[in-house]
Amino acid sequence: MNDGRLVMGYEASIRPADPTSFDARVRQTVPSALRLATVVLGTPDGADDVVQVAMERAWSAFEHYDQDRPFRPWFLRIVANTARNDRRQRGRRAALRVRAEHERGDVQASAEDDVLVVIDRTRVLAALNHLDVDDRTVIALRYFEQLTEAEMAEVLDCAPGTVKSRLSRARQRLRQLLEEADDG
Amino acid sequence: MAEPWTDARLDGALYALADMLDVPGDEQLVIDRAAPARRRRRWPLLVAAAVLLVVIGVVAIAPARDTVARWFGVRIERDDGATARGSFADDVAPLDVDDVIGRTGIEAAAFDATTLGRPDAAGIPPEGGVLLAWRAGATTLWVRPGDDDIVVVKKLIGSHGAKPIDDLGDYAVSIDGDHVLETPARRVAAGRVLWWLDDAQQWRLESELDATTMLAVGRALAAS
Repeated sequence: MNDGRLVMGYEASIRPADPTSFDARVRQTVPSALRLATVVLGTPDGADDVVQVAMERAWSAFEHYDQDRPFRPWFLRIVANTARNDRRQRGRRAALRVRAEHERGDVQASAEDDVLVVIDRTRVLAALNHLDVDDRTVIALRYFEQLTEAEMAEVLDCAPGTVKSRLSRARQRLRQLLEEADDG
Repeated sequence: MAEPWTDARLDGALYALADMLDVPGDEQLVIDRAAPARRRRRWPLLVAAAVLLVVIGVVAIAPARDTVARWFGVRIERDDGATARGSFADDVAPLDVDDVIGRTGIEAAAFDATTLGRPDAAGIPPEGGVLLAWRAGATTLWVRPGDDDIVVVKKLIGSHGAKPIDDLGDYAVSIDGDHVLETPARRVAAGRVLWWLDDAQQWRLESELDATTMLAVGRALAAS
């Protein structure tokens, strides 16, 4: 069949998703995933269930994930979509809150500036609860997860330019809510 | 008068919230791959088979198509080494035929009912799985777990192609033409092959018998 002549061959090699690689990447991203799920749901209740489902979906899709692309935005996109679906089904109202132990710790530190920071934070959180889920999500990705515009675009499945305008509008609405609260 | 919400004040409050937000702990989270395992396990093989078809279909890859091929995970290489035609059974450790038949999950009577009849020999190839062999048509049947993960086929120029088979297992392809099967253990020249995948196992029937006979054997075994 092949008597030593030069031949050209084609090789196809498919390897399965590497569980070790998946585990390590997911573990690094879990804190972000829990935060994002909480923000999208508007409550910590059920956020861990959302992340659990997202992890299973991510593993199912991991074979098709391009290993050269950053994992975090890819996984957070799955988390965000899963949380949106869950929120849609349950019709939750936003009730984000600050962890009580941290608030107590800050107040016990007791410098006036610290107290003001705590007050600001509380006001901002209250205003966040009045934003819609799209505004909350884009703010969370930028300020809580500190993603770049390109990474945010991947999570939100939109162009980077769209991210910029969405973030700007969300900040504007947030500021407006804060000012209305100050006036009222 | 209230202090204005400057960018710095707003940004500072938002950044500070990240670590303060009340979120659930991760204690209950488990990376569980068990639930969708069945579906997941079969995807690599289905994709591999699809890529195999792509590869075999690309007989003369132009530079632009080379890029596409690489995107699919296909590599073109020059192959100066001769691959002697031999039997896939050459490096197989022999075992009792009935014992190996039992490992395939198919009743011995099902083999008896095919054109090939009861296998003449059986064993374990270096790649794993089990191998049954018949003198007729220098036929071999390699049965591997369905989640075995590596499919490597090298197709030589002058191939006659391959075609998918609709009604055999969950996915099946008939390869009719000289090609090289490369495994982590060895590379073996091969000719006519019928490969199919079912719930738990993948089957590779290679023979010098005609394709119709091989398909009949495959269907009979898959139906049993």
